[in-house]
Amino acid sequence: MKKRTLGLIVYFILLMLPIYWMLNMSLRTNADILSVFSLYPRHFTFENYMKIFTDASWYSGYINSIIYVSLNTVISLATALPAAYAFSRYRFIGDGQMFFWLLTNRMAPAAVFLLPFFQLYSTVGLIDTHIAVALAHCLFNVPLAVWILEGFMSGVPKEIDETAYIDGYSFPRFFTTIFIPLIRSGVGVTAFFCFMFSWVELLFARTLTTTSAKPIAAIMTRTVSASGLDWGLLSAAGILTIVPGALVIWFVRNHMAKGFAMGRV
Amino acid sequence: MNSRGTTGFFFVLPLLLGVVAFMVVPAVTAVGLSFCQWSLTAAPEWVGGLNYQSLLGRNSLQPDPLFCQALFNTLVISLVVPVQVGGSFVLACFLNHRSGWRRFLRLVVFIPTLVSPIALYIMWRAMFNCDVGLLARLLMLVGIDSPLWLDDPAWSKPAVMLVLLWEGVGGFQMLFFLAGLRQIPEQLHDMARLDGLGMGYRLKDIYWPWLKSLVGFNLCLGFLGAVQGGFEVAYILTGGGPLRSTTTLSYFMFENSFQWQRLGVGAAVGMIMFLLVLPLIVVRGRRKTHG
Repeated sequence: MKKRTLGLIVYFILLMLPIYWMLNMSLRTNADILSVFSLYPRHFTFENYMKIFTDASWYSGYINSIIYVSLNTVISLATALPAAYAFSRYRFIGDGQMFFWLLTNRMAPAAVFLLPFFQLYSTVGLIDTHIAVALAHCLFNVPLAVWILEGFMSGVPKEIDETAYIDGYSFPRFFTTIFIPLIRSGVGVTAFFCFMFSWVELLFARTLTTTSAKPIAAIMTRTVSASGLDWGLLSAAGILTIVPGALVIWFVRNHMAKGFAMGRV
Repeated sequence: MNSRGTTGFFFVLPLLLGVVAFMVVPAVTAVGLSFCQWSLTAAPEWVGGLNYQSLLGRNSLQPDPLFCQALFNTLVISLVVPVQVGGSFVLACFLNHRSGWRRFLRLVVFIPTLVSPIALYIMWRAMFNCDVGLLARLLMLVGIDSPLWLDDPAWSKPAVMLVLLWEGVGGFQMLFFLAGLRQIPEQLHDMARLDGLGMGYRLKDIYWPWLKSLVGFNLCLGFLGAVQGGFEVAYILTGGGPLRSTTTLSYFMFENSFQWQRLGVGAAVGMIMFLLVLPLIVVRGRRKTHG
C-alpha cells in the first residue's frame, strides 16, 4: 500500500509541474521571467490577465471558441438523441452494420476530411463562420455521442415506454418529460465529451477560420511564430483555456465513471 | 413489425443526412482531390496518379525525401504508444480504490486532456527552453548538462515523445482500464491472496485474461491517434524542426496544402495516412463483430 501512495505522489508531482510552471510564469512580467530564475513569482502581477480581458484581439478568441463549442454540443446532442433511441429501441434493416460503421468512422483520420471540408465550405461560403467549425467537429463528436447515449438508453427498461403510452402520453411528451430525465447523467456526460473534444481541436478550427471566428488556440499560435515570445502573456492565456473545461468536469464529476461503465467498451 | 422498421429509420434520418453530407461526400471528394492538381487560386485539375508518383516514386522518379522523412518521424514517434498504454495501466491499478483523495486524483489526471493542446505545448516549450526552462535548471542541479532539446535534431524526437507520454498517461486510456479492472471479480483477488501468488502470476493469470482485449483496444486507438495526429505538437512545439526532425505526416500534409499551395499532394498524403491505419481499423472491426 505504501508503494502505491508513493507512486501516486510522484505521478502527481510530474503531472502538475509543467502546469505550475505555466501558472508561475503567468503571474510575472516577461522581463522578470527572462532575467531572474525563480520557482515562485516574487513580484505578483495580474498585468498579463488584464491585457487578455481588455484587448479585443485576445478575448474575442475565447468568445469565438465558446460559441462554436456550444453550437457543436447542441447539434451533436440533437442528432444523436433520436438516433441513439432508435438503435436502443428498434430493430430495422441494417441497424447493426450502421452502428458499427459509425464507430469505425470515429477512427478514420480526421485529417483526410480537412481538404474536402475546406472545398465544401468555400463553395457554400461558410468559411470563417462559427457554424462551419461546429459542423466540422460533428464528424467525430456525433458518433461518440450516439455510442455513449445508446449505452445509457439501453439501461432503461422498455416497459417504461409502454406504460407511458398506455397512460396516454404522446411520443414527444414522453421523450422530453420522462425519458430524457431518466438518462440525464448520460446526456451530461455526452455533452461534456462533445464540449471537450471540440474545445481542444485545432486543425479544423484553425483552417476553417480566418478572422471573425478565429478560436483562442489560433490566436495563441499567432504570437508563437513572432520572434521573442511574451511568455507571461502566453502562459496567462493558456491558464485561461483550462477554466471552461475544469468547470464542466466539475459539474459532471459524479457521472463520469458511470458513463464509462455503461458504455460498451 | 414493418411499421417499427420504418419508425426506426425515421429516428436515424437526421443522422443519416448528416453522415451523407459531412462524411460520404467529403470522403469521395478526398479521394478525387488526391488525383488532382489544385492550388487555392485555380480550380482542381485532373492529373491522374501524378501526386502519388511524386510522393512514392515510380520508374525514374525517386520517392520524395521529405515525405519519407515525415513517414519515418511519424513511425518513430508512435513508438511511445506502448509505453503510454503501460503507464495508463499502472496508474489505473494505483487509482482502483474508492478512498476520497483518489476520487479527487481521478479528476486531476484529466487535466492534460482538458487543457487546450496549444496551451500545453506552449507550456512545454517553456519547460524545454534553455533560458527560462525548468528542465534545464533541474538537470543542472543534479549535475547533468542539459541537452538542447527542441534545438537539437538528435533530442527533438525524444522531447516530443516525452510530451506525448506526459499527455497520454491518464485520461481516457486510464479510464478504460479503470472500468476494466472493476469487472474483475473480487473473488479472484481473494484467491490469489490465499494462494500467495506473486505479482508476476497475478498479472499473467488474473489481469491479462480479463484485460487483454482492452490492451488491444487502447493500443489500436493509441496508434491511430499517433499516426493521424501529431499536427498540434509539430505545429506549436517544434514547428516541424529542427531540420525537419519532428515533421509528422499530418504536419507535412498541412504544409503541402496551406503553405506550399499543393493541395492535391496534401490530399494524397491524407489518403496514404488513411491506408496506413486501415489495417488497424479492419482488425478492430473484426473484434467488435465477433464479440
